[in-house]
Amino acid sequence: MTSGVEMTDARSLFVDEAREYLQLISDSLLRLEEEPDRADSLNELFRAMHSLKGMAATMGYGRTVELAHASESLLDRLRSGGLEAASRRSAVDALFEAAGALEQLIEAIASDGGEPPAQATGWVTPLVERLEALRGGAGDGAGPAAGDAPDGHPNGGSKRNPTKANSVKANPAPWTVSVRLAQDTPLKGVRAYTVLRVLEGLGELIRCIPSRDELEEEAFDDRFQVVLHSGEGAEAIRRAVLAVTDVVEAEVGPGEQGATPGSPAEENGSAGSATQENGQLSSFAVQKQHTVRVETARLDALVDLIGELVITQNNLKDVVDSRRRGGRSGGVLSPGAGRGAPGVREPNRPEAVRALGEAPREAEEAPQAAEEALHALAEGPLRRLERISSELQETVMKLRMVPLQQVFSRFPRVVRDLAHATGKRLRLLIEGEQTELDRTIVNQLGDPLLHLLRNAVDHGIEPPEERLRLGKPEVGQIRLSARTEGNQVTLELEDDGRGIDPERIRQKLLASGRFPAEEVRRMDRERLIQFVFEPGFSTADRVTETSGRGVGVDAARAAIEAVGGRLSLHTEVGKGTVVHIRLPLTLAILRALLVRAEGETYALPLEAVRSIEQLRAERVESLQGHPVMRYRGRVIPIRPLVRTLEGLPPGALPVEELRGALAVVVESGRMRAAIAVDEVLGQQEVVIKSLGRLLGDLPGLMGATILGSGRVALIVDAGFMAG
Amino acid sequence: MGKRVLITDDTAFMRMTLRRLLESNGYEVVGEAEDGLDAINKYQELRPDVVTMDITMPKLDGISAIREILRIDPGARIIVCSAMGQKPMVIEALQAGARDFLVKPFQPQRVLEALEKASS
Repeated sequence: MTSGVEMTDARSLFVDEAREYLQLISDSLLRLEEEPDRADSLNELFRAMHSLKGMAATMGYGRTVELAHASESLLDRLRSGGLEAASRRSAVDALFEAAGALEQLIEAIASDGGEPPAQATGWVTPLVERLEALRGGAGDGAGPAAGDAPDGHPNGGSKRNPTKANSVKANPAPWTVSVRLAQDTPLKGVRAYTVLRVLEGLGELIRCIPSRDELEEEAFDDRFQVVLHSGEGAEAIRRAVLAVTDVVEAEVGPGEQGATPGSPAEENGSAGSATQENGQLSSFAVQKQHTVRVETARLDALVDLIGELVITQNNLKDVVDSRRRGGRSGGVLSPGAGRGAPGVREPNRPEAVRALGEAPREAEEAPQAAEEALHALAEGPLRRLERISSELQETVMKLRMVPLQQVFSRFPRVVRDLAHATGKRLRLLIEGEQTELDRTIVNQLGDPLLHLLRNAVDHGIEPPEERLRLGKPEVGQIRLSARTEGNQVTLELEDDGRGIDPERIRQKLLASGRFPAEEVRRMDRERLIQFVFEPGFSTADRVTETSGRGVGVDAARAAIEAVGGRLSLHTEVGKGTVVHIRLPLTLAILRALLVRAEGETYALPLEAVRSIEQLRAERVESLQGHPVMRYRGRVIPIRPLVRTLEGLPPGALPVEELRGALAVVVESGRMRAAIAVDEVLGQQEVVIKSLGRLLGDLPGLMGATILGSGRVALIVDAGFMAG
Repeated sequence: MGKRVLITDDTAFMRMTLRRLLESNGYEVVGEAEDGLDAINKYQELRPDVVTMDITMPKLDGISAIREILRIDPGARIIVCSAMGQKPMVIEALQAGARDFLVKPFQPQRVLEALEKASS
């Protein structure tokens, strides 16, 4: 069996595919719950469960096989239409549970390298037993090789050993066997031949549709039917056929469909749905994606390399540009072109002017005409290089983009479960799930969104009685939407529930005694609402199973900000709450404002920058020893960049020293601050590099970037500065 | 659990590919045979649970080897491995008694499925 600590190829493939199947199962179950008679959902479920079972069996995951097998058998029963409406509903509930349990097993396999030990999975057994009881086929063990099922065939024997050749019983009866092969079955003619041989071992072949010759000549797509006289039961025949490689579906119905009218099957009426209309098998669109799986680390390496390429190209461009300019004006000459450390497209760098004296001496010594000719030659190829590398950059960025669907797809199921658990009725609308975002960001979105969703269900949406009393539609609505706006993606999570009551927050604050009562009474609505972002602050009256355990909106906001996003919340009592989330399309490249402070260059995410202000003397004040400035009707703190990063209190700095400096006003969430810097250098797209293990997670920094000059600039986390 | 497999193929690469795949999935590859004769000898010596059998090989082809092995042990489980376009030969091999067939290039999932089915 697979062993070892690291994920083996086979196991990672197994986990990937198992997750896909579980998603498919969950989607189909949701559809089935809405429209219980949908044969296609059932068939899809059955196939997915069957495939999952087969994969798990290949890997030797016994508990998974057991559970999948019991689910598959129950699905088969559902499919044959043998259950009453009430039993069908409990069957679907049990299948939901089974899907959840399978997910747990698969995730355990993914993280621990194998199924949990038997004693840790004792909970599987009662579930399997329940699935079996619902199926009504007590006695059919979980072992895939168990005996025949009582499929209701009039002559159906209950013989074991179905695969023993020529075990034709005294009373053979007609069966119609419908077989589907995997879409990409190699040599499918031969495969059909193999199936026929297996069937021949079970009884007498009456005919094939299409004909045997056509089958062997591959004159069929992926399905065929065989009429067989056999004393074996339907289930035994089905299992024998399913045991053939590449057979993905096999159904056995009594009688000779389309052949002998009035066969026992007709009165019996329990034929499987797919065999009822001969040749009219419902077709499944098996989606085949033309994709290649690539390890994400390779993709990241590619992104890194392109970052290097862009930097080198900027380097080269600076050399060419500065030399060209150097030949003529020299006024805005970049420094050090001849020292191999040319400047960037950083406008108006004063030290560029200062450095003029020591600038390219060789350049001045070289014959100027030849110089210029050389640079004129270099310019064409350089422009092309720029164009190509920017296209390359864009293409690679697109490689990292994945649709939000990956995260959204689990929510309908979550909401369904939450609704059941809370006794609420609600509908989840999802819009824009095809919107694409950087993989890293999408991967980080699951938990915060899940949390917000739970909040909405738990605290937002009212119970049905209350909604009716309030004159609201009985069924609550949660809308999750995504759309691309420029180089950002906006998510909205909107519920039509009770909203957040600022007065309740006020009561809570008063009760907590954290602030003087007078101050709390004076707080306006906006200020009060901000408290939902405080760790551990919950307005929930009771702790429910799903949320309100103190992990609040604050955690969701922190997670969103960690990927460079912003979260804000608007709420109206009685009407509902909208959470707005804005996310950058990619994490790898950032539009930054380059600033200079205490001799170093820093990059600020342009997204967070509201404006650049001159700290004129009359605007700067001191409030309780802290420098502040008036900004658009509010008083915001002034934070000197370097001191704040170093964790020093700004109060120690005399206000006078700040006067006359520049301040970059940044905003994060609803918090604003003015960051005092010496100089603003300009805007630039920068490639974000991790600070690496050496520096680790420094508070206040998002990473670093390498400028065209080869110098490193630290990227400042606006959330840290504003918060 | 740990089924014993004999791999038969005249190319070392194919033998290695199969060996890696099978071994990393819990099978025990007890031997490798380079041609049909070799396969017959090794079968008698090793009595594996499953044999994978290439068709076109020097000295003795796979189909003849299947017939011979089944003569020695009617319960032998043999999976024939063919390239695309060898359909008549695959059918012949199945008629000779092969349990299943695989088509090159191998798709791991299919190989494992066939092995699992043939050996259970």
